[in-house]
Amino acid sequence: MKTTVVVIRTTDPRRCAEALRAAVGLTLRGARVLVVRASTVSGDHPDIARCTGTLRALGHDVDAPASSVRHADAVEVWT
Amino acid sequence: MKHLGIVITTAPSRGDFERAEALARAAREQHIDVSIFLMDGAVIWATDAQATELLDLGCEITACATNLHALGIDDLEPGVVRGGQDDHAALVHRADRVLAFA
Repeated sequence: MKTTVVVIRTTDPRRCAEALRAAVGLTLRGARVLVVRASTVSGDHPDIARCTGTLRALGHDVDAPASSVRHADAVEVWT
Repeated sequence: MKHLGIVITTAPSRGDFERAEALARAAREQHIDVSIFLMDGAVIWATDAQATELLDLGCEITACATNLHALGIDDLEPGVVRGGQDDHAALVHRADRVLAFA
C-alpha cells in the first residue's frame, strides 16, 4: 500500500478545498493518505469540512505531522 | 525508473506547465513512460497546443472533468482524456516517481 502525503501550504480556502478534494481522490486506489496542514486558511469553503470528514470517515489522518513526508511514496505540496 | 507521473494543479501564470513539459520531454528521451494529470487551474492546458506536442511524444494527459466543467471548458486537444480523481489516484499508484506542481 502506497502512502501519499498532501501538504496544504495555502491560505486560500478554495485551494485548500481543492487539495482536500485531491486527497479524497487519492484514496480511491487504496493508498494511505495523510494530510499535513502547514498553513492557516483565511476563510472557509464548504468542501473543506466535507472532504475532511470523508477522509476521517475512511480512516485517513487529516492532522498528520510534517515529518510524515519522510515515509511517503508521494508528496503533493499545495501552495 | 520506467514510469514518471506528473501532477499539475497551478494556473498558467506560475509557469509550472513549462517546467513539467521540459521534464516530460527529458523523460521521453530516456524512454520513460510519462502520465500527466491536470487539475484546478492547470486544466486550461488541456486546450493548449503544447499538450498535443506532449501527446505526440507519447505522454498520457488526463484533465479533471470537475475542474473543466467549473471553468466551462468543453473542447480539449485531441488525445487529452477527460478524467477524474480516480485517474489522479491511478497515476500515483502506477508511477515509479511522482512530481507534483501544486
